Amino acid sequence: MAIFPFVAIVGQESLKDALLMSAVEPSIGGVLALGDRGTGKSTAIRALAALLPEIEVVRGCPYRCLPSAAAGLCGVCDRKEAQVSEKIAAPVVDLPLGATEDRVVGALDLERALSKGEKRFEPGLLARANRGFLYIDEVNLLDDHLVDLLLDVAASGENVVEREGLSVRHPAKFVLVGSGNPEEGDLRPQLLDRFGLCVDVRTSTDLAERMEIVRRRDTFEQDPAAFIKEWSRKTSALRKRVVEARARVQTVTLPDAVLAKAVELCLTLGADGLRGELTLMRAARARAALSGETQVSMETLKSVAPLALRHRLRKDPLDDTDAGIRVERAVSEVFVS
Amino acid sequence: MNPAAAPPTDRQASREAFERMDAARWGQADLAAALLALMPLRLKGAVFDGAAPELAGLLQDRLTQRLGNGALLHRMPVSITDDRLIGGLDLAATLAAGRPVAETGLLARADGGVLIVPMAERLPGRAAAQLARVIDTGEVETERDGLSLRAPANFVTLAFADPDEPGELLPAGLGDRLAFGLSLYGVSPARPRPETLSPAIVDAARAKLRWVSVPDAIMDALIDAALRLGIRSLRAPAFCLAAARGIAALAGRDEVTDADASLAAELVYASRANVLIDRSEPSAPPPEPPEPGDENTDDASRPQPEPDELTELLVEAVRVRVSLDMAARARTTRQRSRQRSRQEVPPGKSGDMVDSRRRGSRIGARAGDPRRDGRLDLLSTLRTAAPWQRIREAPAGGAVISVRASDFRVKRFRHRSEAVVIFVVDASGSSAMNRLADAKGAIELLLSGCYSRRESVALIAFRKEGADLLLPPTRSLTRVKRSLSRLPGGGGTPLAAGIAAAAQLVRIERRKRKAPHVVFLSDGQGNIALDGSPGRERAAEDARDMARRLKSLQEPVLFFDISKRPSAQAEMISTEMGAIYRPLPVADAARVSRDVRSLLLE
Repeated sequence: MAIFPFVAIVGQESLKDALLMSAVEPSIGGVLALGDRGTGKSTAIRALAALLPEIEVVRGCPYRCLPSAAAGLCGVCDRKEAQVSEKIAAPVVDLPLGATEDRVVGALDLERALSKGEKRFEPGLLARANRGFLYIDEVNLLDDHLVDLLLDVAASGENVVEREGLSVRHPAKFVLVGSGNPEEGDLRPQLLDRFGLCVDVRTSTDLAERMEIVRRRDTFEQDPAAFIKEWSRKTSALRKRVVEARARVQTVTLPDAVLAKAVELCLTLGADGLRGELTLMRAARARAALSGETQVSMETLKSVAPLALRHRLRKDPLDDTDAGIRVERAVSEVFVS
Repeated sequence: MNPAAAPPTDRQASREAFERMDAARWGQADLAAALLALMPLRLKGAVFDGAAPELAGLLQDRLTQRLGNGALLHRMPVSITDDRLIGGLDLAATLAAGRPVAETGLLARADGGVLIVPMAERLPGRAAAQLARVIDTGEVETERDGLSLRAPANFVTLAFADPDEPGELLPAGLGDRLAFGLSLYGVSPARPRPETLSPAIVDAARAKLRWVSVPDAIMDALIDAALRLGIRSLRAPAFCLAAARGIAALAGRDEVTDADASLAAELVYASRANVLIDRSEPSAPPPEPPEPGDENTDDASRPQPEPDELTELLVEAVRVRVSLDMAARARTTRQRSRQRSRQEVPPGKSGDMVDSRRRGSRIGARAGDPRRDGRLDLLSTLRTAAPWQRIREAPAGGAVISVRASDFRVKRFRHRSEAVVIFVVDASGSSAMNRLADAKGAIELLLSGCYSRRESVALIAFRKEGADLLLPPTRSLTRVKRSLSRLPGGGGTPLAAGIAAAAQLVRIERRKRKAPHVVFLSDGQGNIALDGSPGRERAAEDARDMARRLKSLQEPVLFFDISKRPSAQAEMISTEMGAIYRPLPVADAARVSRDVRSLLLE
């Protein structure tokens, strides 16, 4: 099935920003997209797959190790003497609903075991997602223990399997992207703040924007290939921006004054714990790198604050104020003084 | 209202009107089936409410004939398991062959055909989500039992729902992904239904479809109308646009007309419209000052503050359709309830009882003895045994695999099945607001404190002549806040109706394999009987009957007596329903939530 181009998506700026920032700086810690259905959450994430630059891997490695850094990473690459590298599309793994734990973490290769009596590890979806994205649609429908497991692996970057007499560990560095509709069941708060960024996705009620969305979708459905071609120049331009931002992100500096504001902001909001501050800074760096800047400005910090902090506020069941608004209020408070 | 009281001429006139409507509504359903055959990949499917079985069968047959190429029907039972739906390991074949053999799931088999979902309103959220995803991607991905498979799955989905009980709605994520939603309540199965849209016409339209264009003004009006009807999802206008094209193609035109658009809007928007059908109330989104003097703007993408004529026409067409559907539905349900009371059929359908010991979802396997610890997990057992086969001596009697006692694995279930707390609140009289606010506070406290427990709550309020399900079972604090922000109140006290509604919801939830708990906030003094007529005596009698019926369901009930001082009547009703009785003279949301937790849930 043809994929709607990322650059042709109308609106949903925060979601697109959050995904791009994660593509530039995977250590931000994933994206949670919450909101109404029919807003194109899945479209945006699946479109990302076609946008991401290709990655260089060791040929034949099930974990897609980077050739220069392969030593000591996984058992397969360690055993190989000569490594041949090849380029493949960056993985965006869409976790199917109903996936069983053995296929997620990997398990004993049943076929080998049955036919040859050989004990061999068959890598699962976590291995496939290494160095890419792992997407869980309707994260609130997934079994709790599986979600916890995914979050653990996403945080540690390593998958450790101890089952059926197997003992395997392999790299599993991926950006976890979850989506859900809070009207169909709120997420556990422990889960919320383990995602780096949180986006509130709403359907646009702006008529002009809606018309543009439906028109583009219609044109795409009529002739997908022509539509993708029409947008291919913009797609390559954005891809180039991601590549450049990746090269630059580690050198983006964070002035002390900006850092102080970030800390103050977290204190004001009671978004305690280091996680909030770290995410805020990483996100600001990635955003700066994407805009071609070498230094994080106050403006950049302000712009990423709602994404990085809105899901870390203490919940008060009797306060109805939207979390995004609370963050914005705190931002204006902190930045005035 | 009462047909018996109306003069005969009126009756005849109204019968003729019904017949005309009946023909028109069937015509639309048939058109939907033709459009689905014409563009299955774009329109995805339809939901039909209240269709008689004969009509459902006729729609299915026509759809497959029009699709051609020997398209097959596949039925999706509501209780389908994951492995049957998306595929998994075929254990019999695996054991016979001595290596893993995959079994295709229903969704992959339905590729190129038609998927029928009967009783769609009972489809569990999880199965609906699986289906929704496959509808989106046109592909089934299976990552189960050591297998990793992908198969194409493009099919037309026909969902049939018969939500004759409150709280039973089609999982919304599914309805949004199917183009059409049509109500067939009251459409008679007995009348002949000649075919006007033959497979040949559909084939001719298929050839024409590519060249059908949509004028900009119509496209804009369709998109605008969706917003004005309170439809936020953007799938709806996209479906509507495609349907309008299809309608034009079926008529042999190469440009969509206003009438095509209007018909498409009825087919797609009527089931999705969210605004009240009230003509006096302007439903315009954010008010903007109208720009005088340019009705035909050249710039089509510019938002038009005032609806243009066509938009208005589309909105009106949909509103009329919605109110007609609602009227037809009300008529049918009235007839049904009359029949039901005549035949003395006990309420509730078969399959009510669920084995409580083993309900809940599977959470894995552990070592154990299947005779003692529950159900054998065959696959895990095989997995455990598999690696040892070379070492173990060949099993006797030609068996393929040698399994020893230490290999046995049993299934682990989540012990407690998911609880649903049903609040039933007296919203009558002057203190209604207080009590409802109390219930709302308790619900919010319960929900905010129990994420990890995964309980859901529902709220039934009784007032005036009956009981309403104000909040269908939900776990979402967001939704609670949204739907309880404006609570109705006042009028008489139909306690019996409140208890009856609770009992009904208990049955519905049990069918969904949930564990229902009921919490009453009432003073136990009803003054409206079950049929809505006033009178204390009948009301009390009905309330007692209903209370006994609730008791017979044997689910836990908690009764808060909210009268100023504990009353004998409240305690009596509470005993009749087998409830735990608690006086609550002063409103106290925190105590309600605490008691619910400690007395019912733990």
